[in-house]
Amino acid sequence: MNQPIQNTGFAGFCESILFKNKKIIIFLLFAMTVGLAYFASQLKVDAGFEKQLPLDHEYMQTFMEHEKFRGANRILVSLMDDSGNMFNEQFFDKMEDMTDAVVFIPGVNRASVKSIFTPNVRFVEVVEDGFAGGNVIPSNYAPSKTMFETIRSNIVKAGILGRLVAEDFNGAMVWADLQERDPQTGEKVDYQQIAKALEDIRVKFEGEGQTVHIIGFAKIVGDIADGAKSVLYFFALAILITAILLYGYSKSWKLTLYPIVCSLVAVIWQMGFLKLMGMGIDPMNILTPFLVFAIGVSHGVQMISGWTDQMVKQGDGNKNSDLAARTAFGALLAPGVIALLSDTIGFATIYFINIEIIQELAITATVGVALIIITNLILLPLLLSGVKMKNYDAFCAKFAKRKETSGVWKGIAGFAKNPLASLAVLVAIGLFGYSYIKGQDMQIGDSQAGVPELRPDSRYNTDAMKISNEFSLGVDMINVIAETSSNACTESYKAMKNIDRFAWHMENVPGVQKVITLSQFAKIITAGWNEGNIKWRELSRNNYVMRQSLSGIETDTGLLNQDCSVMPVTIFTEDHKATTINTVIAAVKAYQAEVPPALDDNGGLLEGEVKFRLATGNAGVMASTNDVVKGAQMPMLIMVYGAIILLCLLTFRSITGTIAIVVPLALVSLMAYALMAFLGIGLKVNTLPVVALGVGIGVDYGIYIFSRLQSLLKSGQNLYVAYTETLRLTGRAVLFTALTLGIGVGTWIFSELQFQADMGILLAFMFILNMVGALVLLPALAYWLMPKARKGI
Amino acid sequence: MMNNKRTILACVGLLLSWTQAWSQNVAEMKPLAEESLMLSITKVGASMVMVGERGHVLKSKDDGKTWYQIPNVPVDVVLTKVVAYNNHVWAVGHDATIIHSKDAGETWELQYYDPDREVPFLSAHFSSETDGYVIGAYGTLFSTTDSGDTWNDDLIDEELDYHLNDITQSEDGHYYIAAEAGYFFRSLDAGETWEAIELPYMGSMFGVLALTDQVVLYGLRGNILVSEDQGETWEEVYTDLSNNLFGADLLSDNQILMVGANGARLIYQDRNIEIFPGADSGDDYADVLITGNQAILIGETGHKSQAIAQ
Repeated sequence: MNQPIQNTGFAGFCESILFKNKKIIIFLLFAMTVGLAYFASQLKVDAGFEKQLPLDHEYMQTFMEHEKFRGANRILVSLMDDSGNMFNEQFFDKMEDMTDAVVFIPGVNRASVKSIFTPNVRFVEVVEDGFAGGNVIPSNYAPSKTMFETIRSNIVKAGILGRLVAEDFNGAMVWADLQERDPQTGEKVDYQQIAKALEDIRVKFEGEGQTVHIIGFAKIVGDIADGAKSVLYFFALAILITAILLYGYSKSWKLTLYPIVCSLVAVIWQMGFLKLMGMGIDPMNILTPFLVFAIGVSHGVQMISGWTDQMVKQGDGNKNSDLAARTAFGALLAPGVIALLSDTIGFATIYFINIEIIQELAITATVGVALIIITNLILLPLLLSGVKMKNYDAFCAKFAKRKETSGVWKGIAGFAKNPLASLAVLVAIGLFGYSYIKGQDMQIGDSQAGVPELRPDSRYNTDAMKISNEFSLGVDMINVIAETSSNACTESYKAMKNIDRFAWHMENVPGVQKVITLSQFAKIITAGWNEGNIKWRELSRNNYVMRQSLSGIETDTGLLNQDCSVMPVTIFTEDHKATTINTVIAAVKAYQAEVPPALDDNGGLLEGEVKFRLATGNAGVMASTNDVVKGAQMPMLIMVYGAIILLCLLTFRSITGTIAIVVPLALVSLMAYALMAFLGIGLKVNTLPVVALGVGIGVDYGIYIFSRLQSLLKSGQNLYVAYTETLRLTGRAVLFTALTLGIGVGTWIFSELQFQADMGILLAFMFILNMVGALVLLPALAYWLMPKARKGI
Repeated sequence: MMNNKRTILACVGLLLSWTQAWSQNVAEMKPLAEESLMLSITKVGASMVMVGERGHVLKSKDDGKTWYQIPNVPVDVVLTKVVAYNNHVWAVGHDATIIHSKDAGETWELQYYDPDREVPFLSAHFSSETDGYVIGAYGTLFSTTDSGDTWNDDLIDEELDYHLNDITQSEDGHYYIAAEAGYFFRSLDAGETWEAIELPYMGSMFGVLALTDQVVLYGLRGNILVSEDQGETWEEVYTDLSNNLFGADLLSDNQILMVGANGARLIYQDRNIEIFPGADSGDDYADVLITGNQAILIGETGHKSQAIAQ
């Protein structure tokens, strides 16, 4: 046992090739690192709105078909006057300039820009000989008390109070829709550039009595990208903490440096390959490189631990670091490759979720983890084989203590026999039940009103709060697209009546603030043609009256398309919480089920029939994403676990062993969902993969422990003895790795990004609990499942 | 003028033929009915009834504090006016709709409905449980002497097809009708003959009230006209208001509270106007009802109460 084991079979074959050509390989890998580091440095942050969309989803088909009525990628810039009254010269000057500034932001759809200064915002006024319309700000605008009175009344008549103008007339807002691609060049717009332009607008117009508040997807991306810079500092801090603790563990700077360098090499390669594949890194995926680093460290520590053990075992005065490295390599190649392959396959399965940003994450993580096989299972032992120390014996003496099993480890080893084994299993069953029930509370989608990726007190979230307090409408909306025959709004009373009835039904749904659709304007304009008599606010059955009412409505109002066969019904919701959105979506579906449109034999709509299609608008997009995320969660876990189970079965050829490895992992996955429910972290595109990634981290522990345990059991030891021996080396490394990484990511709680803080908590939780599961529950399950191994306990 | 009288029985057969062309829908019960467009309000005994868009009929038994929506109202069109005599209540509206309740507004039946006519009824007046008028667009003047079981379909004038916006009856039995484009109609013989009178203002008048010694018209762009000779001659009352005035009620024998578009509320007394005090949201008000020291204002966002300063 104490003699170095000669590697045989595949591991031996690899060993001889690799170690014989050590220098060439190290040189090649070094050259590769330099090359990929160059590409990695070119890697750009790449954010996009469309890549968050589940394009296969029914709603997104509507979204892509009716580009005009998307209204999801909108920015809102509000100017608020400190005095509480916007009617002053300075405010109006600023508002006009600010509107222009928004129009000229690259990527803004200029026709979509709306404010009191844009010509697409008009009012209607009744006069003796009919009715008159005009821009809210008269063309002869010159600041005066009477002019401001006129504007105030125009604002009310235009029906924009609460939308473009604050309820209390203490501020006004500019709306603009962004295009994902520049219509001229076809190039993707640069969200960070837009975010910067928005921030420039804030700097320019804020102060001297006014404040500027900006919300919208582009601003979220910008703020997250800004916050992502601090992510780098936290990465550095986590690496530093890892290094310090690793030094305490390995007692050598070289042994500290090598696993860290090798793990960083994996990250550099990963980023280099991403660039070579033509990809960028999304701000929401910025944690993946760190994950790769963490998994790398986890394997690196096992390697260091194995190497040190071999060094200690070699006789005094006769230390051979090359032999130790070869032996450690041989022993760890199989479990390491299995663990990393199950990670790789597991992460690759995430690719089947058809949301581009998640697919990007799947690629990023898969590539990164696969590369660890080279950096930490090959490069690291090669480096270790060349380690030279002044005094091997003195170095090894430091570890002599570890040969004895201390009290703590004896205690943990107790889980490989009763009573602790039974206790652990019972506690696990209890936790399964509790976590399962608690996990049901986990929200799909956002559970808070603001943006959960940013701190509640961040500028963005306070801006969002301010805007939703001062303006009743405009932030969260679901557009239901009403499709009917051409010219329906002037030729089909029935179609308009159907749309109007639908709108009224939606208005009565809890969580809906207001519904806006063309039929309401038709009524108001009909009343307008009847001298503004409020009693005429009804849809006319007369085609002449309908034409008179609606022919003047331009498509830039967003209320209709060119031939008036498509009219969106815009449902403004109180917020974008998943529960609110679900209620509205359910109501739309129930309405459609109750009054389905009558079709002709070819499946076309009969005259006056209307098809209400879900959905565009920001909350409509969220509804579809929530749907997909909810539907993807289970299949994703099944695929990840399927990959792990398959590989474990193939490697260990043991059903009981596979159960002992997978059950603790599954328990921690469930507990992670329960924790998310407890912390109010909703399951959404950005958080969906985290549990799968957590499985990837945890599986390493189980596989290393079981691999050693199994080989010791095969040599005839009973479970308790074998497990005690397993803990001495592998267990110690697992405990150390989990604590180190847990502490490292634990510091993220202080990140300015709520998203990073949340991920820090979740990852630390999973690092540590997976470790506990592997050290405590795995042997307990083995005790219960492998009665033969109990002999002599 | 009454020579081309046509009496149409609202018989079942005819109704069936209409429902084939346009099946009228029963009004839907919705929580926000109370906050939707309300156009007319009246007292029915100790209760109140108000009507508005989508066939909404609401009733209150506590002076307008709480309201409940009446189920199974047979239409879902805009109802423009509600009038009551004892426990009989009639509401009229678009699609030439007349609905009737015999039990103070709890249950309703359809009396007349003819969407193909494309005429909205705009107002009504009943002088007893049986006798009443319904008026509407294009000079339409309906009358009944049997509580609306049958309606006499007529026009107010063979040539003038102006919209008839509001009708009232003075204590001495004369009828006054506010109409479109500077026209006013009156009947000094209890509805036997009608007479058109041109007003000094060319705009439309949306409402008419008869005081003991005055007839008051109000309407387009804040215009108010007064007559002391039963509508023969008219005098304009100066207001600097440009909002339409839609509804009014008596505050006292000689004081009128008028309401209208963009939150317009003013008190008229002897050719003088004062602005009714109180905060205003800028809503369009369609009608008002005075009860005790409260004014119940109704309009595009439903109803609200406002205390009347003593």
